[in-house]
Amino acid sequence: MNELAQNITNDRELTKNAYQHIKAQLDEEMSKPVKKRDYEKIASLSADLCALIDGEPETNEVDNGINKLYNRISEYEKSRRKPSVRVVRKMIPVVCVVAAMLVANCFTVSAFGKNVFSVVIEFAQGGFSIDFDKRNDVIELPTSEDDPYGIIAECAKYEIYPETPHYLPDGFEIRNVNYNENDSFSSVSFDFYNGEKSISIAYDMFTGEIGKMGIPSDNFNISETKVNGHIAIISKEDNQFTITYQADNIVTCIFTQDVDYSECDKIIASIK
Amino acid sequence: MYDEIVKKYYGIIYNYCRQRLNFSKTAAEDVTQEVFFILYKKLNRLKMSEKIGIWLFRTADNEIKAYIRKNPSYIPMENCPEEALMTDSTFPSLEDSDFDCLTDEEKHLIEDYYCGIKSDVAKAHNLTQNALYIRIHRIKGKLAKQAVKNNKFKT
Repeated sequence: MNELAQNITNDRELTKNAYQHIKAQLDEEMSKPVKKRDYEKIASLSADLCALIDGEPETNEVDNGINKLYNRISEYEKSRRKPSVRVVRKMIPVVCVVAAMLVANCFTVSAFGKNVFSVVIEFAQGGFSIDFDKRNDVIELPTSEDDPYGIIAECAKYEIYPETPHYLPDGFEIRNVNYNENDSFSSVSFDFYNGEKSISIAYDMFTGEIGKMGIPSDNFNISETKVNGHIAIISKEDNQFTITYQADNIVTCIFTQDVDYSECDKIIASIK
Repeated sequence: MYDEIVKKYYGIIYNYCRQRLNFSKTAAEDVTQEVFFILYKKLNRLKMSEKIGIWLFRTADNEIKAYIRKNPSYIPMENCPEEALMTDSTFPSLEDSDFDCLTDEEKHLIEDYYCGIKSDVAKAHNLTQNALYIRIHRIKGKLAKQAVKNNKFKT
């Protein structure tokens, strides 16, 4: 038993060796193209690594996470059921138009024998639709000629004065504006959506020294360009585009999902 | 349907996020919550013929990237946190009585691993090499705890 105890105590590399052994397999799988990855293997290797780092697995973490998720869903459902003031306000003109059409219809039927609603129905068949759920999310920021998307005015509220794009492809609407602040930086981000396509523009203003920045990338398809004289790093992969650069104490990051890369280039060229 | 997916995949996606986010439990939980919340909102629009597991992993990839973008001070490390790998360097010295906390199977396994031919141990115990590493790691953890406990009792 003494020899065994000695060997166990002297083995100072077990965790490190085990970690490297498993991580190498995981890296190999993750380096494959997305469609060729074996996700069951990835799941298993991920679990192995977590088990190695944690020792005994903590099942409570997962159960607590699931409970938290259902609470969030429950809150989401409650908020969806509440009638929105915005929707009611948007509905008023619609109701008024329908009422006016009814009156007009009575008049045209009695005077000319023609039903005015056929026009409206055709119009409806032509594809007219209102998605109240989506429109409810759209944010309207005040814009101007120099600030076509309202980004400059919104950032000014937080004393952030960044360079902004003056071109975004048609059809994008702003759905989220977030502001965060902590000891070392404050940040404002804007999320634009057009169906499944999205453009996020984020500004981080640092009060002190700007340290390393984390730029997510799987394939490291990275290139360098210049934006208004500042060196910028571009990452392109999986229909995603990320550009990050620093101008004075502000780090700008623009991220797009499913937007043509040619359109992304136009966005970058419009930054001033 | 949704409940079954959550039950089957929540832990899997959570572990995946942890290993990609430097084993941070907080970050992994935030991202996993987001993935399953998106699933909830999109469930009706998703074709169930699609492999839902792959969809979850891809969504997790996107959400991990979004998390890193929104937390600029967060730097994901490609390597394991050093602290977690240092556990072996502070391993206490063992006495015979410390081994009493192990089951017979655990004793056989650790004996074979440290006193036999390491390359054959996994095969002999019908384990993969990864599973063997994890078992040995856990047994060592158990022994370390017992050694600390016994030392305290003596003093």
